[in-house]
Amino acid sequence: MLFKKETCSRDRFYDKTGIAKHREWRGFLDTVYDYNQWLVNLGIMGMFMTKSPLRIMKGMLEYRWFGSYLGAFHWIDKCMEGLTGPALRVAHTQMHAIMKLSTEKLALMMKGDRRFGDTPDADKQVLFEQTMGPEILTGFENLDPMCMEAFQCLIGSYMDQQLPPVYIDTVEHYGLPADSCRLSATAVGVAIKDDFPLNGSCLIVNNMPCDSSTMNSQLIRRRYNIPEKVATLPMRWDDPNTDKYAGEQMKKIISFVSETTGEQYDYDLFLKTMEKHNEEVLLEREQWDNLATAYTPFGASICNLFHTSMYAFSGGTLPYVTNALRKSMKIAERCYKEKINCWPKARHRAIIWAGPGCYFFHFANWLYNCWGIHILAQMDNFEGNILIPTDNVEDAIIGVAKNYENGIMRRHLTGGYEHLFEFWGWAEKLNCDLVVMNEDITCKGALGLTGLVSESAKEHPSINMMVVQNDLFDHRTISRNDMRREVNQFMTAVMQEEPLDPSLLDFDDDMGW
Amino acid sequence: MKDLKHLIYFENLLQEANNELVKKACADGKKALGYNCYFLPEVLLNLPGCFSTRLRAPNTGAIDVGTYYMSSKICSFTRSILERGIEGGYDYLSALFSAETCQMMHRGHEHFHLLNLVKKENPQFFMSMMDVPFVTDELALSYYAEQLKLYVLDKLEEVYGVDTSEQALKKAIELHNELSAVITEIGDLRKLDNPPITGYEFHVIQLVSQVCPHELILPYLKETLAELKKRKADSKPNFRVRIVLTGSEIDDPEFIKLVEDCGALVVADRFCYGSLPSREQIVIKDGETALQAIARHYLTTSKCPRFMEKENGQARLDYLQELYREYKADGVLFEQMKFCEFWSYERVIGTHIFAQDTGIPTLGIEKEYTLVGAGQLRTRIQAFVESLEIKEIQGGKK
Amino acid sequence: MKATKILAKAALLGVGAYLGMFLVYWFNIENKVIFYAVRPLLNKIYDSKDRDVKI
Repeated sequence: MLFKKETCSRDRFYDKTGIAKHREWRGFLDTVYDYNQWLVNLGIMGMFMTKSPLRIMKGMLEYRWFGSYLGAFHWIDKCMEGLTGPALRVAHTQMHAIMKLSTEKLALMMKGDRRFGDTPDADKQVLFEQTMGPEILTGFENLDPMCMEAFQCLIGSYMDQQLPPVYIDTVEHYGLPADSCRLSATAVGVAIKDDFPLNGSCLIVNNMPCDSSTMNSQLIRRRYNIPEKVATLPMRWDDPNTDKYAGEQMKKIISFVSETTGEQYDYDLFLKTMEKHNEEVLLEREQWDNLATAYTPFGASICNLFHTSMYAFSGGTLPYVTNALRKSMKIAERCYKEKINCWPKARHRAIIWAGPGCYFFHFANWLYNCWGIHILAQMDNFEGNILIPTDNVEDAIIGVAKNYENGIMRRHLTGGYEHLFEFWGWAEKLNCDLVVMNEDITCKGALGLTGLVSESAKEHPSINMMVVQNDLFDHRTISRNDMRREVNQFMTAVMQEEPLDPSLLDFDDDMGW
Repeated sequence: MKDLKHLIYFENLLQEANNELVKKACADGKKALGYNCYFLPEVLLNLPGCFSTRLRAPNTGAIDVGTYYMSSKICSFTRSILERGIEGGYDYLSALFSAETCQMMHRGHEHFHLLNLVKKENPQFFMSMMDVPFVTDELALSYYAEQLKLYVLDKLEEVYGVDTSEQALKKAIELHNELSAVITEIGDLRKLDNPPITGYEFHVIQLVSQVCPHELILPYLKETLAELKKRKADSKPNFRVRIVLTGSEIDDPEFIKLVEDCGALVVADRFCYGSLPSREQIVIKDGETALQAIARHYLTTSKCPRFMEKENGQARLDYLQELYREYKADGVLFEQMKFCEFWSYERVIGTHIFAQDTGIPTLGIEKEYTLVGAGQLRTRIQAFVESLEIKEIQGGKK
Repeated sequence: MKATKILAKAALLGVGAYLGMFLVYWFNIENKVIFYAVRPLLNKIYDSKDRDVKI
């Protein structure tokens, strides 16, 4: 059984916890490759520890969300389930970049955490709220943009489904209803529990992406005793009449940070970094073209995370992110040239739309392994990839604002119904025969169009649409298995298909990470 | 107390959106301009040849169709408005003005366009959607004024040839101020120790002033004010405590009646569709245009939780405290429409931070648009009333 | 000769470590240790921490 060919059967896992008894056998070459990448990841972790060993250890013992990062290797395995050949190589390439950037940021965060003693590093960091990328701060050469909620909430929930409920319960104890967005609720829970690191010289509060995040800021900021500035972006962002105001908000950030920290803004550096941002965007767009082909190695869970990480942390500042994009594209080009089918089990080509169940991050892998559904891209892939004009500062600043307005969870859920409906265009462009429509039961921006989204399916008879409910961060309401059951029901009743691996249909992993 | 002469008439006007006075104004050739949110200044919709009508969905029963389109996890107010729109309840409208101030209402209004509502009855009907800033600084003010011009005034002029000149705006402000002065005077009676008006009656009056054409309702309001000035309150007050009611959308006088039936007189109405704020005087400052004055007025008087500056948040709580003192209240009731993101957080802030900082007793409740679960609400409000009474007996009163 | 021996030893050590680590990898030992031993211990530490829980 040691090297028996596996088809991701559940026998490989302990019941309920989902911990693997042994790792996946992908054939000799791919298993050795996967092992080597595991070693690389170990190396990245080792490098991370050397950056500030004492503070990182203290952080691990201090913050519950930090403890969840111990599940990183398990999480990587889940995101690689069923991948072989070029698909595995692309996934690992992108995963290394994700590991690098997240460990770098985490180390910085710990180095600047005043909870472990005063440190000049704290003042070098500018905090900003979720779903705003670092672009506008790139003109400050000596400052580090630090996204606040991404580590405590989003990435934490990807790695450990047991994490958000701790924070959600905390805020619900104060009366916040359970129908409120779980992401925003989790972030407030972190604040109430005093689990945010105490870093930063100043804080940029924003209204990104929606109503609940507008409101949760009002509680989170109470935990910070540093100067703050509110910079809000128009909801009707698609209207050119709102551009100037959006640009002014960006300028407000620059002058506030400059005044607070005494740092000068280097506009040349800003423009140069925006050129690199554009390079990232163009490489991504190349990737979209490749996605439409039958030989693409892109898909499943990692590509989506790679994009969101790039949006949240890079914005043209991290060369290894661009390199990972280039390397991935090289693999993709080879696959296209040699007509390699990278997803041998695929029976359907699909995209996932709307707010995902973050606690079931590897949902796309499960869809592939159980039902042969190759997820080419998810909604987030098409957000925050605006080309920023670099001819002059004024246009570049408006371009940055536009990129944020088109950012994660913003582009498709605000600014008009037409943006949510973009999935049909993408499904057609990528030659999909299936759309997996997430129904996040707390996302009002998407739920408000439920009926019309369903009705629009009638106009696209060649593309099926499957609706899968989730509760964004709270697996107790709609568990991973509930999500699986919904898919199973659709695939058997509507599509009349048999699963590729029946052992994956129905199992309990509720107690696991 | 003696019944108010026009109360039943007012109550009847609230039985449907297209009420007697709305019909009369439409028959006179006036354009009915619908809106839902305070950020769409009522005064701008009362230019020559037009009148404002804030949308309600009275006597809402099943909202299955609204739920089909928007799912059951969207606030029932939005679903009810959509349902009524689909039923043809707003077919009298000439235009619907909206703002992306709340995602749910915004989505609800988008359905008017997507489902081609009203247009069948009135091909000229149009929808206009604007953006509203989240802060109140000078930059936001000029942006808001610009949005109002683009998405209200210019649209009205373009489609219906409405006079949007400075004079016309000033005239609209005059009428608005006249009506507001009457409502404010009526509302101020609630500050008396034994008010000659109940919260229910006031809410009815405030609502008719929002849904009916101002010119047509004004004479009735003036008459009611005169009547109220002479009205004698019962010698023994028929309430046990006085409360400030704050929260999201409340356009159902029956809810106020429910609260008052529990013994809590609603002395201050700080909620959407309430008069605090909405009936303050619009003042044109030196050097300001009428539009700038209107923009400043609505942006700075609004107490919507979506304003994000720290000072805005504190100002909202200070305002509540001021109302509590001014209206001699015993407690504050925070209401939240189920699924409302803004007020779900504001309710938490109110019942914890506000209560801690001020020591003012508070109660937070969650409700649907219609009075389902009234029994449960009644029990909670009764318990709150009792707790306030006990507090008073124990000498804890301010 | 000595250098060759050292190199051979180092190579042997390297190969041994590589193979040894493969066993850790294959039997998912790090995740088992973290899930069943480290994390429960950490949870106890987090639960015992006196946090300034306030809104």
